[in-house]
Order: sequence, then C-alpha cells, then structure tokens
Amino acid sequence: MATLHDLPGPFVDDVDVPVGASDVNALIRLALDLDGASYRRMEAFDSGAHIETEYFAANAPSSYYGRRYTIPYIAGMTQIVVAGNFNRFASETVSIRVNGTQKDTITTSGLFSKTLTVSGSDAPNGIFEVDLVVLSSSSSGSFYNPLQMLACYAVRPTPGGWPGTPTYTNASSGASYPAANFSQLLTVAQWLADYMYDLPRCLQLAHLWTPVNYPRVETRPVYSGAIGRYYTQDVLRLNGVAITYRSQERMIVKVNGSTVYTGPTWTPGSRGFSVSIALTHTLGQRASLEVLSEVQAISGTDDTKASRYILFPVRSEADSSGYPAASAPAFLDPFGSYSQATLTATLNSVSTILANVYSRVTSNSAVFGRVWAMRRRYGWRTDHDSQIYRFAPRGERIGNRLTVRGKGVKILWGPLIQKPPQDGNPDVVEYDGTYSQDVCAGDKLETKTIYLDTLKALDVGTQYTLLGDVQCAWEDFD
Amino acid sequence: MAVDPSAYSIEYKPASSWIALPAGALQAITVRTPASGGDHPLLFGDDARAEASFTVRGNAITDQLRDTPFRIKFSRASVEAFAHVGGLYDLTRNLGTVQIKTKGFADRIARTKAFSPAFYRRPIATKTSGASIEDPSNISYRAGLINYLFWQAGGRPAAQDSLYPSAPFYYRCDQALDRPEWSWTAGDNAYQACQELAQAIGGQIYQAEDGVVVYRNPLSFAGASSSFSIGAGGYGGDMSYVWVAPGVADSYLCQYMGRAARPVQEVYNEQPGDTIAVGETRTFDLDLRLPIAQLETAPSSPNTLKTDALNIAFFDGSLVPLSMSGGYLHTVAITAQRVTLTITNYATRPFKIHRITLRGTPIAATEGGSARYGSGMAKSIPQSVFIQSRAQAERIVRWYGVYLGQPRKVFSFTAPFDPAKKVGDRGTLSVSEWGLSSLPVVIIDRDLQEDGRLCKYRMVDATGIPVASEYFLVGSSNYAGQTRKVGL
Repeated sequence: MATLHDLPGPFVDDVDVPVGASDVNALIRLALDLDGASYRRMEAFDSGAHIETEYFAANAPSSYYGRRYTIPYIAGMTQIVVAGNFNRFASETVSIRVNGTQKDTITTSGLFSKTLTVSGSDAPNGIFEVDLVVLSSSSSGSFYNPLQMLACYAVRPTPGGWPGTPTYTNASSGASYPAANFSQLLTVAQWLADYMYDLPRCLQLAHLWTPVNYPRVETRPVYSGAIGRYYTQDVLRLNGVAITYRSQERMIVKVNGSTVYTGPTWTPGSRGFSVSIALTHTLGQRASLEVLSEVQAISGTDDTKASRYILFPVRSEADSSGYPAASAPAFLDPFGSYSQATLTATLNSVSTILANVYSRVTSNSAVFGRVWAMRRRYGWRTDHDSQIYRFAPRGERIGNRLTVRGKGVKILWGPLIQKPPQDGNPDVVEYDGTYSQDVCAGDKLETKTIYLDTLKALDVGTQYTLLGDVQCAWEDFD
Repeated sequence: MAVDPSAYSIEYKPASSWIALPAGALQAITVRTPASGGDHPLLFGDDARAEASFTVRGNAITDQLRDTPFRIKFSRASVEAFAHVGGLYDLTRNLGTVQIKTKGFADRIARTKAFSPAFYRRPIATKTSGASIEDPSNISYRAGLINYLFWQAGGRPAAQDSLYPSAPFYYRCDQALDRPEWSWTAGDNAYQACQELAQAIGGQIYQAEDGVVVYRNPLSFAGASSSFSIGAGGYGGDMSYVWVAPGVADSYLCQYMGRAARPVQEVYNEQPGDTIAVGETRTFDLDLRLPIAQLETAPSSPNTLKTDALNIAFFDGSLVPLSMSGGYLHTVAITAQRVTLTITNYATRPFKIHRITLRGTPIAATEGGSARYGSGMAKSIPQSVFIQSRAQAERIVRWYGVYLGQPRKVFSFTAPFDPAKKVGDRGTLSVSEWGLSSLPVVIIDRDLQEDGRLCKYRMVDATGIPVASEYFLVGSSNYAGQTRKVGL
C-alpha cells in the first residue's frame, strides 16, 4: 500500500471540532497531486539494439535467445502479452517461454500478438522470465535479429473496492459536514494512490554507448523498440549524446517505418541532443520506433573509431503545452469566514477531481493496467560481456523503493563520470557515478530492496543507473 | 461591600465512605483553583495545581495517610457546589489543632510512570462521554494518549462515574484539535507528559472545583455561553488588572521533526547471561532505543516471541525447548518503548539466557524543520517530540499567535464568594472607572479567602478568543444558508 504522508484527520462526528482550513487544503493538494500523477511519461519499449544481437543471427547455433524480458510478479497476475514483428529468414520458428516452460509459439512471418496464461508458479523468484527462443535457425540468414518487439507486459489484476466519491449537499435539511464524507475522500485518495503507485515500474535500458558505424557510407541501426501515445499531448522525446567520427553523419528516426525526423549533419565531434517529435498514431497504441545513424560521407582523415550514441531512456512525454491540470478550488484561510455554499462547493470540487482521476487512470490500461517488462541484456560469446557496459537499466525516480534482482549490481546517480579506457580495449567505455552504492553481491544472484529516501541527493525526478548483471529492476512505493 | 456568610462542609474518605468534619471545628480554609499556572492565562500546557488548606480542631480527626481524599463544599444563597477535591499531602498537628493541606490529583498522575503502545494518527485527547471507550484493554480502544495516561493513573471518565464509583479521581476531556503522526509515552512523569502534549497540540489541563481533571482544547477556553455579569458593587476596592502583552513585532517559531515507522528490523539485541533456576519465573524489562509501531511475534500467538528471538541453553550448551515439558515458556507485554519479557523455567535444571533479539518496526525521525507565524523577534515554542510535520507546526504557531500574540487584560479582584462562578465560566465585566462596559471575560482562577466568605477572582479579557460555536463543525449539524468560520 502506498504510504501517503501528512494526511488530514482522523475525523469524528459531533465532538466540537471545526472543519479545519488545513484539513480541507490538504485534501485539495492531495487531489491535485493525484491528478498530476494520473498523467505519466512512459519510456519507449526496448526491442533491443541490433548491435547486441546481430551476431546471433549471423553466427547462430540451431537455437538462440531472440529476445529476453523480465517482469516482476504481483499476486493475481494471470496474463502476459507479447507482441511484435517476426521476419523469418527461412524456416525458423520462435518458442515463447516463461521460466523455461513453453507457453506459445510463432510459426509465421509478420505481426504477432500472443497472450500467455501464467500464474505465481511461473515466477519462483518473484519475476517472470520471458524468453523468445528462435529455433532451427539458419546461419546463412540475415545479419539481423528476426524479431522486432513492440510489447511485453503482464496484465495487472483488476483491483476492486472502489468506494466512490462523496457528495456534500446544499439541501436545507442536510447541509452538514459529516466525518464519513471526509473519511471517504481519504479512502478514495488512498485507493487511487495504491492504484497508481503500487504498480511496479521496470527500469528500461539506457544505451550508455553504442558503437554504430565504421568508416563506410551506410545506414546502421542504433535502437529499435516501440513508442506509445497515451495522451493527446504526447510527443516522442529523444535525449542523448552523439560522439561521431565520420566526416558527415546524421541521426534519423522512423516511427511505424516512416521517417519522422532527419537530424542535422554532424561533423566529427561530440554534442548532446534533445529532440521532440510529434506522434500521430492511435491513442493508447504503440508504434514501432527505430533510431538510425546514416553515414553520408567519409574521408581518409577520419578517425577509424566507431561513432558512439548514448541514449538515455527514450520516452513519450507532454509537448510544450504540458498535460492538463485540474482546476483547483481556492484554498481556505485559517479562521476565515465562509458561506456554507462556498465550503460545500469547495469540498465537492475535491470530490470531482478525484472522480475524474479515477475515470482517467482506469480507462488508460496501457499506462496503469500493465506491468511493462524490462529487457534483459544477454550474450552468448565472451566478447558480448562488454554489453554489460553498453546497456544499463536507468530510471527517473518516481517512487521510494527500488527492487533489484541481479548479481554484482551497483547503483549510480548524479552526473556520470567516464572512466579512463581499459588497456587493450580502448573502445569499451565504463562509467561511474558521482554517488554510488552497492546493491547486490558479486558472488550470487539475489534480490535486494533499496529505500531511495536513504540515498543522499537521489530526489524524486533524479535519474539513476544500475551497473552490473541485472536480471530485473523495478520501482514502486512502500 | 457586604459579605454574605457561606456555609461549608469538609469531608474525608479514609475507607469506603465519606466522613464529615464537624462544622464548628473548621477554620482558616483556603482553596485555590487555577486553570493555568504561569503569567499568561491562555498558555498551553501550563502547570496548574489545585490546592487547599484548612485547620481543624485537633480531636476532630485522627492522623490520615497521604492521598486520603478530602472534599470541600460551599453553599451560598442556596447554591451548593464543590470547591475542591484532593488528596492529603501534609498534616501538621499541634496541641490544639491540626492543619491539613491537600492537593489536586496532579501529584497522583505525576507519580504514574506509564508505558503506552504507539498510537498512530490519534488526537492527543478524545472527547469523553457516557459511551466513550476509555479502557485500554478494550479491543475497540481508540482514545487519545492523555485519556490513556489519566486512566493509567487510576482516573475514570466523569461521564461514567456510576460505572466506577470507587475511582480515585475522574477526568473529562475535550476532543483535541490536532494530532501527531505517532504518539507514545515511555515511563515518563504522566502529568508532565500530559502537559507536554497540551503544549504541543494546544489546550490546558487543570483540575476543576468538583475534582474532575480536565483537558480542554483551545476552543473551550472562553466557555460555552455567558453565565454571569459583574458590575458596580460586584467587586472590591482592590480591582486591578495586569496588562499581558506580547513584545512589539513578536512572532512564534516552532521546530518539528517528522516520525515514520521503518521496515521490520532488529530493535533490541542483548546478551543478558541470566541464569533462571528450576521453577523460577523471571521478568525482564527490555527498554528499546526507539519506540516501535509493532513487534515481531510468533505467528499464532501475539504475546509470545518467535523461537529465534531467544537463545536459551542449559549449562551443557544444549538448547532449552519451548515447552512446559522440560523446557521454558514465556510471554511478552508490548509497549512502544518497553517490552516486558516473562520467562518460566519448567525444566528440571537451570538454564541461561544467552541472547535476546527483538525485531520490530521502529518509529524513527525523518526530516525536520521549522515554521513561523508573524514577523519580527521570534519566541520559540518549546520543542516537542509530538510536533512531527510542517503542517502541524504551522498550525501550532498560528494557535500561539491567536492566543498569546494579542494583548489582554487579566483582572484581579475580591468579591463575595459565589459557588456558581467556576473556573472556565464566561460572563461580562463592567468597570465604569475604566470605561469598561460588558467586557467578555472568563474566570481563570479562584482563591477562596476568609473561610469562603470572599474569593479573589482572576478573569481574563475574552475578546477575540475563538469559541466552537463560531465554526462549521464536523458532524451532523445542518448549516444550510449560514456563514461561519473554518478552523486552522
């Protein structure tokens, strides 16, 4: 249950206690906070950087992990949805497994959406391990992974017990302020807070560095995934840094296969970028997202190092107009004098805001009705160990509790510090944080919980990164 | 000024019945009943002690034990009322007389060292009534900490006196207007703890003339309705007032420190090394560094610990089983900051307690800060562990500003004693010499003199003191079409 602090009350009838301005103002603020929380920026769903898995297809054994995801289990979960696009090379198929048990298969090319039936027994360590295993592959197939994922999530169990919002009456026979109404407002607020805050929110992988191209005129993929459009105000936001070495190269973004952004031409150097791109696909749906690097020209004097793109979680967020905010009633002055009609209208406004929040969050199942998966990093060759530094779970703090299942995991926050390159492998870039703390031991797979309030300077809205072998990491409220 | 004679009686209760002292044997009676003890009559949580003294003919009473109840009743013009109820604290006998001094029940409450559970989000006091649940052993108990302390000191609710005819004293509480997130007491002086709560949240604790110990919230300071009127001829030539005024541009500053229950963790770990003999029952008071919201206990038995909490072994190192057959049994009584562990040895040989480890949810300090009301030189409100949020601190400084930040006159005068005029009563005062006409006043102190013929009254100017009837109240009252105030 989410813990709400500084709540007014408790309220008791007929003990000569006034309706307090601070109590009513606290209810107004609570309603506005919940209204604001009912709009949520959503990270793009990470299908996987092609650099991570392209070798698989080209040099693969007869079966290999096409994609791997983890989802934290909450009691009552019975369905996992997996959706994407399967571009077969030849005759291979895909086995969709949860905790190693096949739940479904993909046997034909094209778009797919599978609903898997699961239970708690499929999550013995508290997480679902969802693997899409490509079977009977051909090493002569395409260089690229045949699977492009659009979604992997568990359906949230339907909560019950919505108490409904109270109504304060103006009737000449009953214009009163009963304790039950105030208590009901608090119950409603708690229900909404639990609904929004108790939902585990998995961290998505930041691309700390992705080597994307070499001295060749070509277009190479940087990132693939899916971007959701959940509110009419949503746009796609791409933040990151490009360290380029080609004479001329630029970044291109495609949504649903169509180019929606062509960046400026970059000459060799380092620059940050923050791009806002309009989204036009259907509300509530996800569209495929690709970020590409296009080398337009090379020169004999170019550095031969691979250009690198650093992408922090890509996400949908409000455009410059922002998400709408509820119209708040005026705050009350302590010891202020008011008519009964004004006080009643104020309290009914609070009720209305909360009712609207309920309507908004329960109808937005894509945001609040699903626990979205975290993509796992994986490699089947030793040189893929460098993946551990390329892609790291990164989040922006909303909650106060972080749960991590992994081995040798450390949390970093504050500005990232790039370490000096390793001897013998100058292309591998490692980071440290201004602040850091060990989370999981290095000698075993374990599940640990951190209370984020205990970490100095890791305030709400601050980004943080997990380094190490992370199987799953998610945030919620205690 | 004419002085009417008063009839009075003094009774004492050495056993189960009240015994009246012979009227003619009494003299030199003084009774003092203040609502506050300090310089400012509206100060929250101020130590106010009721007391009385009288001299009686030596053969009228034998020596009595401390705390023996005494009560003094006066009547005038057919109006009879208690003026004091208290307990003996001093007896001095000479060859002809004995002087007896009594104090109210503050001393009894002060001697009570109570350990309470941790109360979450409860008003510091809850309104007592004929139906309020005041017994902490009741499963539906939701009373405030002040109610709890009064009960632990032996008090019982005045509205339920018929249920507790032998109670050492009675109490009456208003509903407190605020509450901390967490409240508890850990063996402190219970009366001091009550005053600290009243100081932190707002209110006064005093003993009324009828002996009932009262907590009143700030909205009760100015009384319910006007019940007397004093004008020319109603006060003596010693009429005076003290001008109680705040300093120029004063403000009030309050510190707070948040409190929150933390996840389950170790809260006690000691190696007592005690040996428990065969058949012995030993009790340990385990004092915790931090108060706890809950203690981890055995799943099937909330008053016993989990088996791994106690490391108990025979001298040969073998563990002692948790069993009446060749082992030990134990129980725990849990309060916020003390766990009382009782262990009984049912084995046939002694054993040692090597380690006691308790796990629970400690209530730890979180972030702190301060709140201010007004501007200018700040007066600090005494710090309290019960001021636990900025919102709460802002409310309390506002209360202080309203009650203490306004200049007030405190009138003092001698008048014929009227048993009907009690501390807390509201009325009007007119003093033509000062141009005062029908000034609202509240009685804050009565000091009976000349064996109850006269009384020195202290009354405070009640102008602007908030009263409950001015506000929209939570409850069933219908306010259709009305305009009223909202509280803090």
